[in-house]
Amino acid sequence: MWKKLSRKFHSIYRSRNKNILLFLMPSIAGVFLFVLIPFADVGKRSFQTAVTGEFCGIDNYKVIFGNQAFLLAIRNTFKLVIIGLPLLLVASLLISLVMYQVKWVQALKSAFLFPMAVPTATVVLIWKMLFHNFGLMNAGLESISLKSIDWLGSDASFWVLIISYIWKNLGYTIVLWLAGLHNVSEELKEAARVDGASETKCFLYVVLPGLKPVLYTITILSFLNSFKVFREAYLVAGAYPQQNMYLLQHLFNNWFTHLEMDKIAAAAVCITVIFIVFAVFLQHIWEEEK
Amino acid sequence: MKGFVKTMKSMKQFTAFLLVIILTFMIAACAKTENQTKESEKNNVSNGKTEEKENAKGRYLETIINTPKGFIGKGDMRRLADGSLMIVDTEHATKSISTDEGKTWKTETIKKLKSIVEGETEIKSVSLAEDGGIFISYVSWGKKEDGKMFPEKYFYQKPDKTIIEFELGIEEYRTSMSGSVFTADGRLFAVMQSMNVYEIDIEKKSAKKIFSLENEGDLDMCSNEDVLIIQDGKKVYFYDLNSGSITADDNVLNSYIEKQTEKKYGTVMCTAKDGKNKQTLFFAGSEGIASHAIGGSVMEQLVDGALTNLGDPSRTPLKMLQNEDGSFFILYRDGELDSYVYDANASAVPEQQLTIYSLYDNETIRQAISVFRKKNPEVFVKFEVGLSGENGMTESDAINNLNTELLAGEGPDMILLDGMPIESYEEKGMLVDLGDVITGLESANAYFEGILKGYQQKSGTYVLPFRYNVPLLTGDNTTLSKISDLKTLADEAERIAGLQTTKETVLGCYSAEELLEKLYLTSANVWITEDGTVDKTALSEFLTQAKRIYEAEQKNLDEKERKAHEERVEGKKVTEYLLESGSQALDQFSKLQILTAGYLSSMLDFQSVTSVKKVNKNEYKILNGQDSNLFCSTGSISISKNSKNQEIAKQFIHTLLGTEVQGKDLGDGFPVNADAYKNFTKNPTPGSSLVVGTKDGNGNDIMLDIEWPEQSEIDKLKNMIDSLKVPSVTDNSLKDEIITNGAQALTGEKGVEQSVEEIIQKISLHLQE
Amino acid sequence: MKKNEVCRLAVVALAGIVCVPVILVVFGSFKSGNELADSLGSILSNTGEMINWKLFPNYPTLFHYVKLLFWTPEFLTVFWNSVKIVLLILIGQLFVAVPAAWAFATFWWKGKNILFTLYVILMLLPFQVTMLPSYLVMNKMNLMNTQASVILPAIFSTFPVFLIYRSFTSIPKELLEAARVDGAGEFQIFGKIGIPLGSPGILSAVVLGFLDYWNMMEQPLAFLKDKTLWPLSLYLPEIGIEQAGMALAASVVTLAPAIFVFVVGQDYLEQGIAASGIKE
Repeated sequence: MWKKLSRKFHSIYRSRNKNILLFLMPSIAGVFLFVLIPFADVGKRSFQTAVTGEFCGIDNYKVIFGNQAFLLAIRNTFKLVIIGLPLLLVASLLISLVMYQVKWVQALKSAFLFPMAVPTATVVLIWKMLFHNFGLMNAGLESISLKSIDWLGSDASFWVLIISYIWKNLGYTIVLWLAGLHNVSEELKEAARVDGASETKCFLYVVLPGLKPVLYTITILSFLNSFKVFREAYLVAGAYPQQNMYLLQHLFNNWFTHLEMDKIAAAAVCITVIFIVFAVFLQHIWEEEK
Repeated sequence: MKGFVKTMKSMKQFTAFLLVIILTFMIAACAKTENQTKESEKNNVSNGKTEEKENAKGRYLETIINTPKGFIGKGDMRRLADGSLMIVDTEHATKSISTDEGKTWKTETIKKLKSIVEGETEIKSVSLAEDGGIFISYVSWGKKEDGKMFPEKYFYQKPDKTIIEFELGIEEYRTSMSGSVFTADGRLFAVMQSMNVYEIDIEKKSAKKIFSLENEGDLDMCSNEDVLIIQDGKKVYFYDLNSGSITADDNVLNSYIEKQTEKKYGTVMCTAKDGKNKQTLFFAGSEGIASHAIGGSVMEQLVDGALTNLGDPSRTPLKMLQNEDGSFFILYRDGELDSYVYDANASAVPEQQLTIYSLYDNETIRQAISVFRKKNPEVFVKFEVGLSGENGMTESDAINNLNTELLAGEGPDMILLDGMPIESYEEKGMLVDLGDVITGLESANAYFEGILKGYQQKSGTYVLPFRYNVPLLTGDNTTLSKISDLKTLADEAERIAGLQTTKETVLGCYSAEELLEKLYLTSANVWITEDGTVDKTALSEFLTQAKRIYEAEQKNLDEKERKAHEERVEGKKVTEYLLESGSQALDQFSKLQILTAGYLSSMLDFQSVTSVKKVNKNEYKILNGQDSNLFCSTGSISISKNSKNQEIAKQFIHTLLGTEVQGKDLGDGFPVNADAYKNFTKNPTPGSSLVVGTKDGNGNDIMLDIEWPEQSEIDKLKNMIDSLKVPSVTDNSLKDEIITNGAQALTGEKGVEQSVEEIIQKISLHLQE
Repeated sequence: MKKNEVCRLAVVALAGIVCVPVILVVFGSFKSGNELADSLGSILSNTGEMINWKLFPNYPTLFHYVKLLFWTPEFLTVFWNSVKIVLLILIGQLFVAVPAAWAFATFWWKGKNILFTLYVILMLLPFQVTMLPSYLVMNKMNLMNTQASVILPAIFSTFPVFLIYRSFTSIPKELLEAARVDGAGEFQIFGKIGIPLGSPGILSAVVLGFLDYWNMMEQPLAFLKDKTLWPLSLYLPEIGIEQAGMALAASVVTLAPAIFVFVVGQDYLEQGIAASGIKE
């Protein structure tokens, strides 16, 4: 009896291994061809000169780390993630906590999700209407007798990026949090309350830890979406926007205009290293939870 | 367990359903691609065929024909009964006639049409009659007319210019005209949006429905004395004008037109009779030109689309004519008119192709291509324009796409570097050294050496300018003699503004932005040093002097003048009224400004300058800023390192800089070829003269005779051009920052030093990259 | 209690604010050309006056829509281009990403975690980085200036794998084991348990993918030279703010399918996103 079962198990296992290939092959092949090979090529180019393709060691890396524009772009992009991401996560969590208790949650959810469907070009149009020097935001500020702000030409431009990022992704993140909240078991919360824990304590010690699993997905997705702000910024403010709006993609774009593929390649490799650290770090935390 | 199986069953159904849908999509998609591959196979076969007859001779050669100035393809063309060509331009409301096959055009405004196009209207259809009559249908959106979905109106201008206006209310105004055509004997037919075909009687102002087209797709109409021919994208209809019978059953034609339309909309037709009175129909579409003897069983390919503009995906034909000698005229929707003339000695297939890329369209290049094609029928020259104006693509998007190709080791053979980062291309080794080309050029002709070698570097010359503007300063002799650079210009501006007699601006700049725009080109070179940093002292000197000039400009200005100026320039680009020497000279004449500082781009400009000079007792000289001896390139060419046709590309440069092309004044700059200067400056219409009427400062009418410059003036200008040797900045990416920030310094909103700091901070990004 | 009320009100107000920009665009598209020119004049020509934008049009008109849909054939071309591109991408993704996600979720092999991390990282790379090498690949395959150059790489995007993977992991392992013990083959299990139970996740990937590719700009701009092949997303900015009426109407027409997919797919999206976030 046992023997039979274990034999069966083995055969399943073996056939499963074969199946892995069948399931994965199309994806891996495509990823290799369309993503990995191109990226490997970028890696190779990071050690070459741009047009002539001669080997030049780590010169390109030396150049970019001495390049002020690169450092500024890194700083801004980092700032966008470090400020925008937590802001988005906290804001959406707070809203979803409120919404969790509301009955007619559906309509609200739709309202928050709405901006996600708005095409980039439309967002650009809206930005122009809102954030122009004589746009709606400033008209609003003046009507309550405040000084108008040069949204796209001053330090405020960074906040335009943040506003746009949060506006677009709020709904999505709320839904994620809500899903997470539904998953925190009511019994545990009841139990905590019976034990005399206050609402705050109950939140901190029961609800919050219960949300940790969704955190990984939310963070990765929000991180991914933070890169999508670029096209809007580019279409509104051009290749050389106000300094605080100057992101990595602006730099890549402009480098490309000047045929500086060598610098792009080196910078891309550096950024990928940062990504790897970030992704591994997140996964590590998440795995620990498991 | 049973329950589980049950759910599995319903899930199975769901999955099956999903799969069926997906599969249908895939099959549909595959079927389509299969068709495409089949087609491309077919193309290969035909290519194989052409390869076989590589040594064969005889081909239709494409040549650009002049069109009326400003024509962008909105309108219609027809050959009139007297043999002349007529083009009606509905964008500019003009009619032009050429009696010399397009070499020259006589243009006049159609007043009625002008009043129509200036309103909120949409021209729906234009057709021209053989006697010169013009029929136009238009919908006016301006005012609401109840119950009329398309309030379409019509007018007909008879050859004697009397006008008949009418409405027909075809199908209760629920449709509008998609196309119309006059037959050889003057009957008018129209196809409506509803796909119904009408005959329109202009005299009686009535319309009679004849028949309906079966398909809604492409549309073109043509006719002769006997028959009206219409294609609707799938079928070709023949309407016998005498008997009124309709046939559409020529299957050879129908399958041809269907295939054409599937590939690309916009197949045009024309018809002609051969010597034996046999009717032949000609088609022009993306595949080329084909002919079909009516009733015959074959389509004969006369011109291969790939070898002409017809194969260019960005081009669509609008109208086609066959000429008496059997050649064709094809008018494209972008306004280009090409002739296709059979040359029995040309090889059947051009052996080589040369691609030229430019961000912007360039008249001189187009001219050079047409000259080059005539000389080298074996080479097909393709001119790719990256930004077509109506395009949403930004300049840097276009450059990036070009760079992708270049970095991949491909891309065009030749690149026009105007508006592009010239230095990056040079530094990165993207371009070919043209040193030997220069040697070759110089052995054949005399050149303005300073300009020809303006882009020379230590390692070689990679860029050759072929057109440029001349920075020019005009004013009275004593003042001019004191001005040699920006500082002395400021000195004089201050002096003039302080005079009792001065009541106007000095340079005609009413705002700080305008002034900076004017001074930018002649000084910008100095601020940016070789190592990519900004020379702070030079920049602050620039702003200090500009501020002095600005204050001089403002000194005698009042609000009224400023308003008048704003009204005058409303909607115009700064470069249009502020930088052209010619229009400024006229302002100088009407006492709106005392000196002019601008750029000379054509003989028309120079004509105005010398004419005003005579009256005002003026003088002119090269305008210098902080930098001197500048020329402003308006066209510079280079050869890509990736090009496999470098020898042909070099030959093309020889044509481009040869006397024939350089000698033509196309309004886009002066010649680099000094031998061609003579032709360039020759009066094209000797004996004729022009009088310009304007108002002086007190509102009195004054007249100016515009005369062709005398030889002494022409020689003097030539000597001045001879001294030019420094190319001005061509990359405009810094200009905006400098102008917006600098303007604040000029108006006193900020101090000069503060502005300089801010500019440096802003543009440091550009320079640090 | 009172505090809760305040919180709820705040959330409702916020939901309203979030929708304001969209509402502006929708109402604006019904304004007449003159009215738009008046109220947008300050932005377009820097007259120095504040924008004067009334929410409701004075004289509502469908003019821009009629002009766009009936008088602008290019618009319809690009519209159908978009539909075609997006549909083919999504169908392709179903065939590629779903099995891959299944493999990641239910099988174990050496190096799986590394491979998955690699997928996540590749998902994060900005397009500008791989533009040139992708061009080289496309060029080798003779795909430049065909819609396949936009469709194929998108099919193999790793993003849907990531998303669907999450929802597959929430399928109880016991269920799979039970099916295996019952003698079901791996493909049967995938088809009969995996796809049905993972369908919220799959559909949410489809909805998100639709929104993403409907707005895709960089790839077509880089790979499609021929404007007749362009998708809607590139045509939109082309209209330019100078033709505000057309631009607004085009925005609404572009927005409409996205909203439609969104409304239809919202439930799946939520379920799917929810499933993707739940720990197994």
